[in-house]
Amino acid sequence: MSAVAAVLHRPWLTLGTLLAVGMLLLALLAPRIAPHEPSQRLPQVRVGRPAGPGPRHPLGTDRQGRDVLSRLLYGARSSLIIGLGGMALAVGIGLLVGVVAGYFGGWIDGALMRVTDVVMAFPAILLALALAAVIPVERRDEGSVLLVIGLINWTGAARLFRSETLSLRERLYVEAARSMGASQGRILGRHVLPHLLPTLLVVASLTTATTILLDAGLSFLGVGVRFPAPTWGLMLQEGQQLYRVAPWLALWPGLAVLVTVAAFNLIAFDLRRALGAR
Amino acid sequence: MMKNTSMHRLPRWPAMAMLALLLPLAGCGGSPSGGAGGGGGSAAGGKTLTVATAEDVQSLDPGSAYDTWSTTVVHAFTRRLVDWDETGKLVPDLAERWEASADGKTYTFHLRSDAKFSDGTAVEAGHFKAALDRVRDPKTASKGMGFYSGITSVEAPDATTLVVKLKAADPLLPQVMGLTFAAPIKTPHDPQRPASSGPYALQSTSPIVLTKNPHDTRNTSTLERITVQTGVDEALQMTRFQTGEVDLLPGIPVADYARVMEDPVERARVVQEPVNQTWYFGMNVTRPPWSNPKVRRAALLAMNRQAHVELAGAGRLANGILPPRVPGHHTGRALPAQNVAEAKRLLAEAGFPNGLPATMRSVMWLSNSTQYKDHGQAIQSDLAAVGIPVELRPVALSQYLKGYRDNADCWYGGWYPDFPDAGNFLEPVLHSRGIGSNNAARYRNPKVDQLLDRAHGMAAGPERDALYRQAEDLILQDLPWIPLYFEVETRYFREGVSGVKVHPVWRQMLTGIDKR
Repeated sequence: MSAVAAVLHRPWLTLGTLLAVGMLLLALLAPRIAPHEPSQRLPQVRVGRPAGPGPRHPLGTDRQGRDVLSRLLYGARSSLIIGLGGMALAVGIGLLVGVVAGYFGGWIDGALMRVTDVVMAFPAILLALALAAVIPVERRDEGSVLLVIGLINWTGAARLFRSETLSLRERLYVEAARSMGASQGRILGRHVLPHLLPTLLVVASLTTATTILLDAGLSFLGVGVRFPAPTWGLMLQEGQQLYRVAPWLALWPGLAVLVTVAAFNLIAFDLRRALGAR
Repeated sequence: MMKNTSMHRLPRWPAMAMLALLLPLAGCGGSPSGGAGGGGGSAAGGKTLTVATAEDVQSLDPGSAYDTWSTTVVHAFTRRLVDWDETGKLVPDLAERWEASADGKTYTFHLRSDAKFSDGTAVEAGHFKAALDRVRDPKTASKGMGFYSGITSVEAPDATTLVVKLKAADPLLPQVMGLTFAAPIKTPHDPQRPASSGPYALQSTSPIVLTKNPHDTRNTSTLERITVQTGVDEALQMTRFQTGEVDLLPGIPVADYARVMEDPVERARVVQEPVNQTWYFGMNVTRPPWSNPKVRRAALLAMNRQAHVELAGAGRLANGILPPRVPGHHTGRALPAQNVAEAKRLLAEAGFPNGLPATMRSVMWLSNSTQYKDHGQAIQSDLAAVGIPVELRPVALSQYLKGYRDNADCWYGGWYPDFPDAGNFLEPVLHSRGIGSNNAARYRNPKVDQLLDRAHGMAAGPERDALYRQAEDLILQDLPWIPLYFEVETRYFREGVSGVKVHPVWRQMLTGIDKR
C-alpha cells in the first residue's frame, strides 16, 4: 500500500484536514465573504443590547452592534496567520536546535538541551505574558504575537527532532562509513533532513494547534493583538462579561477555537499513526 | 514506541467514584478575596453591610484621598465642620454655626461641644487646624491643596473656635470645609491609621472594615459593621450579590441591567438618580489633529451621542458641559445632532478631503473597565466613519488617571465637581491655570479665564449664572471637549437593606443605610 493510500484511509486525518482547510479558506476569503466590516456598527441595531441570531446577523451582534459572523471570520484570519506563522518560527527553531544537538552530540547537545529544559520548565502562558508585556501596545499586531509565541513554543519540537536525529545518526554511521569522506553538511542535507520529514509534518500540525490555543489565551488576557481587533480571544473576553444574557457572544469564538485546534490535533494524531505504521 | 506493559492500570469504577466525590468540592468557591464579611451578618459578630466595587481604594488618609471610593470611605469615618444635605445645600455638621467678617476675609467657625473621636476623646478646633495645615503643606503633596490655597492662616484660639483668614474674600470657603481634606486629624497623624470622627470608625484598611462609632450620637443605623470589597469585577460582584455575600452594589453590571430593570420585584430594590457628572471626549488642543478647530467640530458632528446614553443604560444626553444640578446649567441649549456628511465636509475644508492620513492617528486613553472600553469603541467607530483614525489605549485605572492628564492626544473621561458649583467644575479643567494639572486639554482662552475669574468670587444668583453661561458658550464654540452624556447613577440592594440613596455631592454614601 502506498504512503498516499495509507494516509487516505485514515478518517480522523481526513476530517482534520477538511476542517483545517475549511478554516484556512474562510480566513483567506474573509474580506470577500464577510457580510459586514468587523468594526462597523450595524444600522438599526440598538447599541448596548447584543442581538441574537437574525436575518442580517446570522450569529448575532455584540454590545457595539457589530456583526459576530464577520468578526469571527476576521478572527480566523488573525488566528491562522499567528498559528501558521508562529508554527513556522517554532518548528524552525526546534529543528535547528534538535538536529544540531542530536547530530553533533557532546557538549553542544548538553548545552542546547539545558537551554531547552529551562525554557520548557516555565509554563508557556507565563513566559508568553512576560514577553508580550515587553512589547509596547502600539506594536502589538499579528507579527509580534507570532514572534512571541514562536520564541516559546519550540521546545517540544526540539526534543522530538533531537531524538529522531539521534536514531538516524546511528543508522547513518554505516552509510557515512560507506560514503567515504562525504561532508557533514552533505550528510545532514542528504541523509538526515529528508528522513525527518514525517516527524516534521506531525510536529508542524501539533505546534499549530498549540500556537492557536496560546494566542487565544493571550488575546483573552488582553496581551494578544491589541484591542479592539476582532480576535477570537478578545471576543471571548467580551463574551465572558455577558455570558448570562448573551451566551452566543462567547459560544461562537469558543467553538471556532475548539474546531480549529481540534482539526490540527486530529491531523497530527492520525498522521503519526499513519506514518509510524510504515 | 513499545507499550509499557508493567504499568498498573487503575480499575475504572473506583476512579469514577472518586471523581464523582471530588467534583462537588471543586464546585464550591474558595474563600472570597478582597474582604471579610458574611452576608447575613452573623459572621464575626454583629450586623454587617457588605458593599463591593470594581475600583481600588488608593488612600484612606483624609489629606490625600481624592478618587471616588477613597472619598466614600473617608466620608463614612469622618465628620467635617459642614456637610451637604440631600438637596445639596450646605448645612452645619461639627460646626454649629459660622460667620464671615465684613470684608469676607475672615471666617470664624464655632464647634459643637459634644463632638468626639471614636476613642472617646473630644474633637477640638486644634484638630481642624492640624488637618488644614497639613493639606496646605507642599510636603504632603495633597491633591486637595488647591482648594485651600486662598487661606493665609488657620488659628484655634480655644477648643471650640476656629478662625480662618483668607487672602481675598471667598464665598466658597465654607464649601471647601465640607470636603474630606478638612476632616479633623489628631497630632501626631498616622496616615495609615487616621482618626475617626464620623458615624463609623475605620477598623482596618485591608480589607476595609468600618465599625459603628459608639460616640457618634447622630448615627441611628443599627449596623455594627460595614465591609467594602474593592477590586471586584462586575461579573463577580453580581455573583456575590446573588449569593447574599454582598448587600449593595454601586451600579448594575452591564450584563444584568435590562433583566433587573424590567423585573418589578428587582426594580423595587433599585435607586436611580442623575448626578453631577459629565462624560465627554477630551482632546489635547495643542496637538495635531486636534489643534485644528475644524477637526474638533467635525468630530462633534461625527458622533452619535445618543448611542452613548444607550450604552450606559441610563443617562441624559448632554447639552453642554455643566450637568443639570449645578447652578449655572443652561437648559435652553442644544448641541448639534450627528451629521456625517457635514463632518466630512468640514474635514475637506480643513485640508483632508479623504480623511486624515494614518500618520495623524491619535491615541485615545481609556481605563480598562468594560464601561470605558464600550464608550471608547463607539467613539472610535464614529470617528473612523468620517475619516479620523483613533487608536484605543485601555490601561489600569490608576495609570489612566495619570496618563490622560500627562500625555494624551485624546481620551474618554468623566468629570464632576467636588460640590455643586460651576466654578468648581470648570476651573480645574478648562481654566488656563489648570494646564499642567487637571486641564488635560491644554485649553487656553483668555476670555473664558476672565469670565471664570469674575464669577468665582460672586454671590450665587442670576448674575453669576449668566457669566458661567457665557463662558460655557465660548467653550462650546472652541470645543476642547465633546460632551456626551450626563450620568445617572444606579444602586442595587438586597431585600432588607434600607436608606440607600444617591447623594448630590457624595454620590455613593455608606452612611444613612440600615439593614433588617
